[in-house]
Amino acid sequence: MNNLSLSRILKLIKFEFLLHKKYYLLLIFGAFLLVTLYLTQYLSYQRIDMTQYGEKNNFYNGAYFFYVIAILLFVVGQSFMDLRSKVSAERYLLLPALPLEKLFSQFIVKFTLAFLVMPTIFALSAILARWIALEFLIQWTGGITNIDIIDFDVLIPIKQSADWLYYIFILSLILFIPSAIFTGSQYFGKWNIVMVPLFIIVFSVATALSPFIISNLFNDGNKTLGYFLDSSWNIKVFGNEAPLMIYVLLVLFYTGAVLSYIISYYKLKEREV
Amino acid sequence: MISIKKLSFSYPKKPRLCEEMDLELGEGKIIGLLGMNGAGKSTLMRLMAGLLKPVSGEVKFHEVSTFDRAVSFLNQMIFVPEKVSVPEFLKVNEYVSIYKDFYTGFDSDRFEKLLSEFQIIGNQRISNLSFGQQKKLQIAIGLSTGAKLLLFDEPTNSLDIPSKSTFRRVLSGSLQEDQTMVISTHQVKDIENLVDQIIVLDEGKVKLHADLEALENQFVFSQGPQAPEQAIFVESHLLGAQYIARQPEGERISGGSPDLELLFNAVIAGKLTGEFLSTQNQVTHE
Repeated sequence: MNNLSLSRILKLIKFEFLLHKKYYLLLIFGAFLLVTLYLTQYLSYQRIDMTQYGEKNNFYNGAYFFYVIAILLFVVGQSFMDLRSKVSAERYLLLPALPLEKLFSQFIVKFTLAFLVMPTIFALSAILARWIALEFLIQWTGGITNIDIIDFDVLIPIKQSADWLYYIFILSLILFIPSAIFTGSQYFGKWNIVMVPLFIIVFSVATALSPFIISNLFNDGNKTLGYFLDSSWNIKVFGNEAPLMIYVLLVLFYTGAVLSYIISYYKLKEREV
Repeated sequence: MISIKKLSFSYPKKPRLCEEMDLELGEGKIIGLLGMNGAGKSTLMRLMAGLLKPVSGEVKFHEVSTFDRAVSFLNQMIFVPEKVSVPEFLKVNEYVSIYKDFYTGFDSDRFEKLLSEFQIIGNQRISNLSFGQQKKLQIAIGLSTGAKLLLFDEPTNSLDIPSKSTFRRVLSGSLQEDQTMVISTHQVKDIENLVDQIIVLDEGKVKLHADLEALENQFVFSQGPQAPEQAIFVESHLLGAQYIARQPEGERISGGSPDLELLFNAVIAGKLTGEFLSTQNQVTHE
């Protein structure tokens, strides 16, 4: 009974959707409606034909970037909603399930929604918005008519690059930022959408500035920030060169991505009401 | 069933609520947990439920620490808090399905019967229920889970008079031999003739832990125009005095089952303290 049980994880997922169905329905339909409305308006007023510059008329990247930020804040950042009030926390903590099962169920729900369902919603909205714009609006707005259908590439956060270090760095961000926001919900509750992004920005800037600050504390203070960002400090690893700071951040982000979930588990286990 | 050893607890930056408390709760009892406001009744309930972690000492359910919140413990325990929060947008049956999923011993027939006794319709929205009805719903769920340890914190708050009566009737007929129910309340009259063991908390300590039957064998709880000289506690009464006196040697006067309010006041006044269980025979009084 005290071993991990898939059946209990599924029951916890059912519990999550039962108790928060309003939130999930609002999220899905609200996202679909808002993205459709925005893209319909945006696509209808496109005047510049990018094909003349050898580009695609694929005007979805900007919107998708902000959509991803919204997903992180309003989906991943809303983990463990039952722990936000005393009375619901009592019920949730006393549900006969292991803390690890509760963690897994939250992870499965939030990350499936964030990385599968919500991108699909965006794609469907984009298809609908393009159709509405082309069929009904462009004749009035005078926008371009050769708008491309959304590409699958738009939905993938990692773009093509020759540099493997680029992939590793982007992957570290993809792993770390959602994990920090997921765990942050247990600490900051509804303020998570403000506090964790603030924390990540402050942490990254502090880390990047740290050599400059420490050097000025312990040395003669003659070193400028540019000295530390000088390319002569670039470290070569397996043929690729990058500033030392990038490697420092890589270690921190990958470590942070793992530690976030461990912290989340123990925060749940030790939670008192 | 519940073993509390050298338990000390305080909320952050607050004075100690209990210090080195020892308590053992056996099976098959309905236990009334009494105390003044702020005595620590709800806190003790939460420690037993695994919602709070002792500062030191241990609270165990069948040798498993309650704060570990192991599935084997949670499946055998139900806690009904004073302030019940039931998702109002759900229907009764939808809400109950949560407990049916997680409590392997959930008895649906018993639940339907309790709903009927409490006059709650199963397929209606919870938002249509009053706060008192929501409380009855939670009590009905609690009694149907098949849990071995039932913790009810102020269960009769918000219940109307007929419902309190139903609650007493339902409880007295519901408990199995291997179940233990702890009812924390300051409304002593609501649990009279219901509980068979009493715990009185005061100033962070267990001042009295007694089986009512054992108390009845040792003491007389009675009232009259005057209290006897050897009475250990006396309260004035409309018709004279209510008093507690020791049973005379070699005699047994039947004064009726202990008046819980009188007993509680005697304990708080320090006139009757100690542990008096059917397996032990230790009582102290001034």
